[in-house]
Amino acid sequence: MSFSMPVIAVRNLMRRPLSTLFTAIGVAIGITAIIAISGISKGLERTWQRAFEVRGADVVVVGKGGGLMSNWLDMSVKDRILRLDGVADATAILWAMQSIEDAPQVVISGREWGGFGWQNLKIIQGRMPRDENEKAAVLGTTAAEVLHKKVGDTLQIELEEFTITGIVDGGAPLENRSVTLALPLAQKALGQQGKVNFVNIRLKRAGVELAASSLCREIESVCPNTRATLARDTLNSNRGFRMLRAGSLAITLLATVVGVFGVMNTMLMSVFERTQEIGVLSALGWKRRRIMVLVLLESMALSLMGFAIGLGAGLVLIQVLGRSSLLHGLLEPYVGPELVFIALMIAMFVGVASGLYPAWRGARVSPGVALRSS
Amino acid sequence: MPISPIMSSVAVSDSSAPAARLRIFEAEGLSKTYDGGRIQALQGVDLIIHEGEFVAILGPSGCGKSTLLNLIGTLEKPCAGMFLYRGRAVNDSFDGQAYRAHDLGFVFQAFHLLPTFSVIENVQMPMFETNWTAKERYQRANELLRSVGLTERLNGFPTQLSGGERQRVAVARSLANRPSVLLADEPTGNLDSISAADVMSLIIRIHREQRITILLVTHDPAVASRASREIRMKDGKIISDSGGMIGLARPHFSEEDPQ
Amino acid sequence: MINLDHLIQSRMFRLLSVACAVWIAAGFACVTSISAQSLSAHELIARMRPKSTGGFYARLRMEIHDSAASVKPIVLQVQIKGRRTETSLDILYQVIYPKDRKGEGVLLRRQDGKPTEGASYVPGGSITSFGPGDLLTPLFGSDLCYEDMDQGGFFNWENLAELGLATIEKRPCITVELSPSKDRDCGYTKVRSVIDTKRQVVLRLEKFTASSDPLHIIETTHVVTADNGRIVPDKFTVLTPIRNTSTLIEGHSQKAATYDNSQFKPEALLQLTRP
Repeated sequence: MSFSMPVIAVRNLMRRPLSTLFTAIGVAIGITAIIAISGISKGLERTWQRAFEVRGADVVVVGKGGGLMSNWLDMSVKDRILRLDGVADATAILWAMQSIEDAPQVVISGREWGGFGWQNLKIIQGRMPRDENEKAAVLGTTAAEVLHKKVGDTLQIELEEFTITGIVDGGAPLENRSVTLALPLAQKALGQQGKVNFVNIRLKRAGVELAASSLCREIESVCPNTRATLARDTLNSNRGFRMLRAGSLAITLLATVVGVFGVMNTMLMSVFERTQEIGVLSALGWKRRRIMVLVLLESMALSLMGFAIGLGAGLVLIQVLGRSSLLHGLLEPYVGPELVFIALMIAMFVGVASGLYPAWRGARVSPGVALRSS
Repeated sequence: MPISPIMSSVAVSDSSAPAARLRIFEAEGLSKTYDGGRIQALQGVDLIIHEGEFVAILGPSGCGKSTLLNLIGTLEKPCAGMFLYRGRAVNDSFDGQAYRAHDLGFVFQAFHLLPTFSVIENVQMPMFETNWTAKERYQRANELLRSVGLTERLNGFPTQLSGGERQRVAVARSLANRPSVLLADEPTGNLDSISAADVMSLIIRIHREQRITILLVTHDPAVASRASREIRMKDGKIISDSGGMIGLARPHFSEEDPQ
Repeated sequence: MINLDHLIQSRMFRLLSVACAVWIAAGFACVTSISAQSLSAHELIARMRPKSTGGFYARLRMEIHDSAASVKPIVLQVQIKGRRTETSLDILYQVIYPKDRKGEGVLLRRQDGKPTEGASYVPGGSITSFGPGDLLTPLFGSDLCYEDMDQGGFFNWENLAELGLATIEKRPCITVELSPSKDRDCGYTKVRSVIDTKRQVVLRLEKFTASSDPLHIIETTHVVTADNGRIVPDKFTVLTPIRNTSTLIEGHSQKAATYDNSQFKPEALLQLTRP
């Protein structure tokens, strides 16, 4: 490697290998935290999105106000939506999460018979219900495990008894935790006759976001007290997810601030120790700006070292978390190129921000004074 | 050991016509105080140095000779007075850094080499202010070290070298950017007599081959006698100035001849 | 250079101390504002009293743990129908799952000025009435008893004593003790309640009979925000120390409902319907 400014910077850092290592580890911890929490947050987003993608919904309509689950939609909403231009198909879903038989929490999904809400369910064992009158339900693979049921068993949902005709693979974790049955049967069992809480819509021209957004506004005006969002955006209206995102942002900011101070501290000490050397460089004719660049290169190098360590540790941590009992089956953490890029940008910002003040201090060294203190 | 001529050339004005000789430094009333005025290091020094001179500044410790050198080298700022470099005033609007980078070379008593870099890397340090490529920097450093006789020590580190060798590296470094002026502050102060003699011979050879202006500060009259002009200082003032013979260094006297 | 360091350090020090002072002041402001908002014990109890809702419907999951660890817990799904007015309470608990216990039920009726009355029923048996003396009978074999069907009813009791402050999981609470006047019939002699003052929710209850140790200890393990903005417990554990048994209770699907009087006659125990 030819002798150049970056080489000088790295060589200067290697002068105090332990101090450099510990500071880099400080940055690394921040980067690891950023990657872990962003990975979980992103994993949740993708899991959620996949659940909707798997059902092929472009737009989701819910009742407005309160929590995500507490507001019902009237079935007539679906008919009004079908009449709108641009809507290819719509299907209504009643969704509840509650205690069934021995299990404390099970997802119940009542879907319109013949609607596209059943399309993603692939029979693994048994069969689908014959029609909406058969008092039958299918269980996702995870739901079957949780409830300890097999094909042919009965399932008591509230006061009603259903026969389990089949076990299905829904293509996404949320689907596999569901008990799916015909909508009117679910409505009767849960005491919510005539009510649903989701209407999933397929658009005629899929993927055209502008058209979809204006359609959402139209739906909201035609059906009062509703909220229509693009399927992929629904997660944003979930308070829990917003809190996770806020937490993720807070951790990122905190890690960045701590990183800046940590590196700045090391750089200030390093500059102070090298006062005489900087004086020599100035006497040799090094411009102030060059000295500043050198200090900045050092802080950048330190920060990038931390990034490399933190990235490695973060990826390992993500794997461990993904397999842990806490998250297993709930979501798969995801670290994509965007996250790595953002983490890199943060590391570079830390490098620059932390180096500015030490660089300024270094450049102000007066050669005569510095050299005299020998 | 065979020493190649130092490869550089500095334009030197025609030394045969005394009146046309360039005044490289003109100082008037240079003063410097420290500690809020309690220490008066330099009290009104007037000085004219012509291009190509080899000037020794001699005096006891504390006489202000190093301070004068620092002021001329823009390592410190004077409290009063002014000086001109090649007719340009050296004040706040003067680009001291460019001056130190391209016009000056420094040699210090304490060598001031960077310990974490190799010998050849140390010599390249001033070259970062030029637009030479890494390869060119390396080649020039190589040549400079060859000319001071340190080819085998290229990749060694300063701590592995003797005092004399370190100072020779410092001399090579000082010539990196082809300066017109060499400022040496007690270059032999930390050296034993043999190394001191080596370094002085080197400096003299440089002066002879390149006609570079040399200001050398020392407290040792024997060292001062090697220069062509001797300025004596005491208590912050110049007390005598031999005026300078034009051009060449005076012949060397051996130790038995008292000066 | 050293002098400059001192200068800058002292400037930084001054900045830091200003920052610290600001933080401390802000902290004080928060603390005083919080304590300024806190209610007296009487005001808090008044808020905790069960509201006259008219009619409501709710579902519970009960997980009954035996004293022997080897015995598997029994899971019951229970539905609750009730209505409460200023002067009366009608409440009906019925088991809907598992099949072999489906239909078991207990009815409790309270009216100001009249003694508490109730009836219980097990399919295959007959409707059996009970009176104030039976209020400590276990409900469906769990650690709840008939008196507990009047959830939060003890907040209406006349005698209130404030026992002091407490902390549960770092949350500031007050401990109060409520005891009924002589003319009330309820199984318990007193109830101690630890209430989270900030969130206004009960975190712990100790219900006493004649002995000095509580008969039941109820600990809230999870709370939710109800639609009206109030925070209510939705998961709690009931412990009966003398029998070393416990019941985990999870509530859900609470909603309003209208009932006519026939729903709360003893005959209603024979039917299992959803409003």
